[in-house]
Amino acid sequence: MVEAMEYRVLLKKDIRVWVEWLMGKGELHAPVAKSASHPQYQFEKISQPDTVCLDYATTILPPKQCVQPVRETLIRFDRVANQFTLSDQVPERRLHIIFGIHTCDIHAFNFLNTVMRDGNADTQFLARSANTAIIGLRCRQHCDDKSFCESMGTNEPPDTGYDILMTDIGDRYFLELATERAAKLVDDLSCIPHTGDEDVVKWRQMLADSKKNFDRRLSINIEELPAYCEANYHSPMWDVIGKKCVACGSCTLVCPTCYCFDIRDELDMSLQGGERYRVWDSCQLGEFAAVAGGVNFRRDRRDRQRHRVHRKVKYPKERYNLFACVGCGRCSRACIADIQMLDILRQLGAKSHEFQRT
Amino acid sequence: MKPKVAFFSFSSCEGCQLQALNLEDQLLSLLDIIEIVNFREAIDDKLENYDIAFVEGSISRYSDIPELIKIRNTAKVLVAFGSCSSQAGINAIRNRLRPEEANAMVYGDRAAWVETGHAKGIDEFVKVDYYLNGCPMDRREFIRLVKAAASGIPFIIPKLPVCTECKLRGNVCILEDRNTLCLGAVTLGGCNAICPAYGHPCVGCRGILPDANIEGMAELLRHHGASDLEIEHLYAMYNYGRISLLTARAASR
Repeated sequence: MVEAMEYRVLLKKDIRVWVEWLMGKGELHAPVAKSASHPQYQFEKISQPDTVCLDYATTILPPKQCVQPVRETLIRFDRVANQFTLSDQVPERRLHIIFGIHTCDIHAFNFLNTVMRDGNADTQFLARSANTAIIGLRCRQHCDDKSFCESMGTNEPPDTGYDILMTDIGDRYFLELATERAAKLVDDLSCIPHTGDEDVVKWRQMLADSKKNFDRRLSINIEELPAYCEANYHSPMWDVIGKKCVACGSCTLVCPTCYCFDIRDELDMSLQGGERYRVWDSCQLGEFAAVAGGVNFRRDRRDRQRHRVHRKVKYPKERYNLFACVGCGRCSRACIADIQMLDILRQLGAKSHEFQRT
Repeated sequence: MKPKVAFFSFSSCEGCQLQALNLEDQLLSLLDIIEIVNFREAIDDKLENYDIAFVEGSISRYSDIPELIKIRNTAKVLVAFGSCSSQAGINAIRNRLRPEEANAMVYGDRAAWVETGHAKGIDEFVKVDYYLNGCPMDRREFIRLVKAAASGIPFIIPKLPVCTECKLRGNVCILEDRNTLCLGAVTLGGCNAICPAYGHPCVGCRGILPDANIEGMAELLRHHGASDLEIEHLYAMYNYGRISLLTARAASR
């Protein structure tokens, strides 16, 4: 574990005071409850401090939309002057604060930042990412039966990628301040004092206790997943999944590490100019891999699902030595056809010897 | 020269024309780029030559066909306007009965006075350049199409399902959360998931996607407690013209 720069504590009853104060520092996004019947949550821009809900199972959509909006203008064009202008390379925007995100989502942000820096850097994304403060929350148990963060090593925080990390230690939150920016996010607020020895003891005990709450749900060697994918390339398991999948695209849209987008043009009403924008896309949709001449190189849902899994646990592992699956379980929760990531990975591990490529 | 635009109506409620009229704050700027020459919901004058024809309603009478062919021969761009026109829509529910049976149910002993038969989408008779799906059609798509047609560039509706836009809006899934039977996963999006966003299930008004997994969808709806009959009714409401009841029945087994 990397040592934090500084420790603080915050009584739970004072969380409202801090949230309200943070709202003055930047645009605050935090989990709020969305449904009365089942516990479902969403990251939203906070306007009422009381709506923030820190005791939450993971959100429907990941917090990536705070950094990459659903729709973003890339260029403005003028058909009469035959010119175009790039939209701002470094968007000027207020500091964004993502409050209360789970450690799996911090890992996911780190992955996105790695990818966006690679090759032709996505400067817009990176500028917004740098302008986003992360206040994370250590989890004390699995969100539900769909998550397998412990197996992917994401129930523990990464070494970097957050400013502050909170731990629920009973009547108060224990805060680990990890960056220069973190100090500005607590300032000298009287409700966030320095820790006493008792708090530190309690915090360490809580960390040790929490560990026991996470069971290993994926009993395979995850380092072998790229090889398992290779060995199961022709496995009939993909046919079964392809028959169930209805290609709604939800699994990728709710994934905290998916980043594919489509580019479209929109004319102004004058017809003289317009904008080219990007919008979230999904490899599960029929048109995603359609190219000129009516060719589609992933026409079958089976192939698209296999591609998705390979994009999570095979290709990024080979290229960046990182998994793009953080075990948050969102795809499994969102799937109306009950396709479960945990099942898929288990099958890959179990069947790896049966379907050797010939 | 601004392209001349005409609206025509066959078997329908004319709600799609009304939707165009509902574009109150954009109508004037639309008129900067097009000239409307035939629009009976809004103007009395009629011109017999036009460039873009919006054809609303399904074809349910033999006597409709020559009129439709005339429109096709006149217009440079022909648009199927709304789900009645694009896929026979809700009118096609009657197609499960023989025309005489349906007539007798509605008109009783005066059925012989009325000429009416099975409802068909207009592309069963003429070539359609563009489709504006939906019941009613989507006003933003209408504007996009007008802009594209007026500048001579293709109009494209991405083939993505309603679920995609529903998820991106951050909605709680009504199928998962409330077991409300919803066709969002197999229905063409572009409506910004307006129904599920307000708690109403998607009933497929924009048409079932061409490569939709009908069997898989029936299977998962059954898993959410739907009976075969409910699944049939769900598909039949707007998509009888495209997916026969038999297909839905076979699929749900």
